[in-house]
Amino acid sequence: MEDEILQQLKSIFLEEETQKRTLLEKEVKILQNEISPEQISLRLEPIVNQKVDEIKSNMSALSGEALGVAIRTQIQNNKEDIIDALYPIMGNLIQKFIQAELEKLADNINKQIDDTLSWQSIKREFLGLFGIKQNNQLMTAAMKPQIEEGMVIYQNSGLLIGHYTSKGTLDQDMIAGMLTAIKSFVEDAFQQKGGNLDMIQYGTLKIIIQNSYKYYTVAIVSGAVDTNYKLKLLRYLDLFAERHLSKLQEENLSEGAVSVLLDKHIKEFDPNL
Amino acid sequence: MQSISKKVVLVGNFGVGKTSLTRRFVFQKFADEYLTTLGVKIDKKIMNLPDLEVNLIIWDIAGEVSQTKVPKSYYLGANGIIYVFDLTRPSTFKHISEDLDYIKQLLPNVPYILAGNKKDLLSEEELKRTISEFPIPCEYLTSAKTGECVEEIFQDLTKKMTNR
Repeated sequence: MEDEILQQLKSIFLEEETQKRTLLEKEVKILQNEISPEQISLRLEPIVNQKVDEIKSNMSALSGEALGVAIRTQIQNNKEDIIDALYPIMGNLIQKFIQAELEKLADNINKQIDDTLSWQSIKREFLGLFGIKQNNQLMTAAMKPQIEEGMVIYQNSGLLIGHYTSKGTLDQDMIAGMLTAIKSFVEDAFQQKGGNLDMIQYGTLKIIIQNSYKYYTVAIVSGAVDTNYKLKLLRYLDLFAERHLSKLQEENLSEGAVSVLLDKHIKEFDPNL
Repeated sequence: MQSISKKVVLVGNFGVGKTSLTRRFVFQKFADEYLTTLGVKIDKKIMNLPDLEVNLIIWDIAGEVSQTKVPKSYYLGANGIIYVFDLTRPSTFKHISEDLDYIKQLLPNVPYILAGNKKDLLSEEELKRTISEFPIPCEYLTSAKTGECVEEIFQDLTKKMTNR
């Protein structure tokens, strides 16, 4: 009996609170539903996609200007650093390109001289009066080939038996070994009958190789090497082999003696050295 | 003092430590990381004997499972051979006899030295067990890491090459 009365009193006094609680519970449920990951992703996805599309279509406009400003500032503030960083790449590329073009030019000029008739020769002389020939001559002189190193190496072992150097910066023993390994590798790999590696190009340097029976002679040349120069040098290296290397064994020449002979021979080939 | 040049070729399977031995001998350095040798690497060191200066040109040839796969031309004109194997990998010394026969056929009368490398990785007991597995006796047990016996193998070979 007492319980019933208590319940009735509760329902009379707490009716308003009970209604509020029920309402709150409903609202919580609705909110919980709204903030579930599925619902959030459903609502956010179109917004995010729209933003991404906007960024994609305006990427260059958004970043280009900022990047441009940054690069300009960097160049203005650190001109020397930028030049230092770019020069090894650009400088070598430009130098190599100019050298290759000059070689082509020199080859073309030589070809034209070979093919020429006498009246064309007169024409060339005539043009020379206007400085054209002189310009070509100046360009060729600027990239004049120069022998930097010369070596006499045993074919088999790759051991150095004589050398010439204009600068003395390379370890010629190791270069001789490496050249022999490269030469052996190429010749083994292709196994072309009678084939010999006769030139390697590295940057602006050309490594010209003349093979003889037991030895080979090498000249490392800088500058523009045209076909005429290469053939002339090969003939000269061959002449060295004929003159000295054929009797090397009988005379039992020391490395020093071979070096002296090579030095003399190379300076005979190019008196400007 | 008289000076002569000699070509020394290092051969052996890949990863046995040929480059590390050369590096230790030439530069007195050792590096733990493994970088495989491509083709061939050439180094140089001068050895001084009492009355002779020997210019050693060291050809460190890229390792192959079988030495017959190394280009023959790399062996040509060699004055001495160092055959290196790995003490921790029996597969690297299983075929020593065949490999040496091949080398002797290519380079008759050329002195050679056997070097079992990576000694630092084995305990006394393991070392004894490994030695008992060698197909032929090995003169030098080396460690490029600690430098043990490295100088000695080159010195011994230099003496053999110059008949001293």
